[in-house]
Amino acid sequence: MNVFRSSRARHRGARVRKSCGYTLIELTLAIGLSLGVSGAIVGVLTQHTSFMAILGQFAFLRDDAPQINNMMSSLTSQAVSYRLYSNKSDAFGATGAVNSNASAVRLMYRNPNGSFEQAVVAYEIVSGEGQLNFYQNNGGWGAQADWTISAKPTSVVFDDTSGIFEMTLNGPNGEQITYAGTTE
Amino acid sequence: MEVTAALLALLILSVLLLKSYVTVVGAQRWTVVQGMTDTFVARETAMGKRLPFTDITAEAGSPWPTSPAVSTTTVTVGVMPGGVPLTATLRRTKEPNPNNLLDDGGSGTLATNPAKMESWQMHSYLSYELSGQTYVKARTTVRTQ
Repeated sequence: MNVFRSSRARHRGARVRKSCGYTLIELTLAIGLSLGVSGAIVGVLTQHTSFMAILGQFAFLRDDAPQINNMMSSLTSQAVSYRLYSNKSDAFGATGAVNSNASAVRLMYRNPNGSFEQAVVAYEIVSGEGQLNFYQNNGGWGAQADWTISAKPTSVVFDDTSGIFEMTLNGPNGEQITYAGTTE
Repeated sequence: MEVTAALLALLILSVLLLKSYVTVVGAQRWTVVQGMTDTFVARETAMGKRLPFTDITAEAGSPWPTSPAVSTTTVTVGVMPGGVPLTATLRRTKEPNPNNLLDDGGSGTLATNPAKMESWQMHSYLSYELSGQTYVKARTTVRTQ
């Protein structure tokens, strides 16, 4: 304290500056360090955001595609036969069956009493959204799907040129995976 | 001093987070790739069960050549996020049942195989690189007539 007083006495101008604020160098240093801390925090947040984005990109292959495959496996394994069509309308009318580049599959089920039921699984754009929909024929085809299997794929292509039923799912981030079934 | 300590703490935190992120993303990629390759080899089983027997046993053009011949092809298992194709090497071969008749690749006789049964084991091996490791998945399908 004595040292300070004697310094203040010797350098009055310096005392006035210290009591009123900081030097330009001190201020610059403080601002610089604050910016450094802020930048580091922003960097950590950016890193976390990027990480979450990367995690999200895997969601289709990790979660959605296997669920769609499970659902399609349940549907096709119960069917006694299937036919592929280019679109839902052809599948409803059972006209123009194809072996490749199909977006609809018509399934036939046999009931315990020997009668048959038919259903169509079709990928279509509904209100601007791509949907893999299931339609059941209850004396006629409904205008709206009975239920939506998934709205996550950007396209679904059915194929059986190799002799086996194949379903290729394309995801929103350019992903692609092909599932194969054994239904003949 | 306090600010320097804060910067240092943030730096350490950032490095630790980055390390954990890399670990999580790597594990997730590992899981996804294993799922995609499982799907691919399931197709091999389906193909083996579905193909006509004459196509499988054809002298030329069979997808599964008779051992020791091996068919080796580079296949696209699927496409990863961002449009990056996931490629692997598929090897196929088939072996006759030892009791097949001589004409069918075996050493059986009419005494040991009076019904002239013909049976083949079709092997598919899918090998791929993941996280610096080489993985091989194998599927065997038996066809008999």
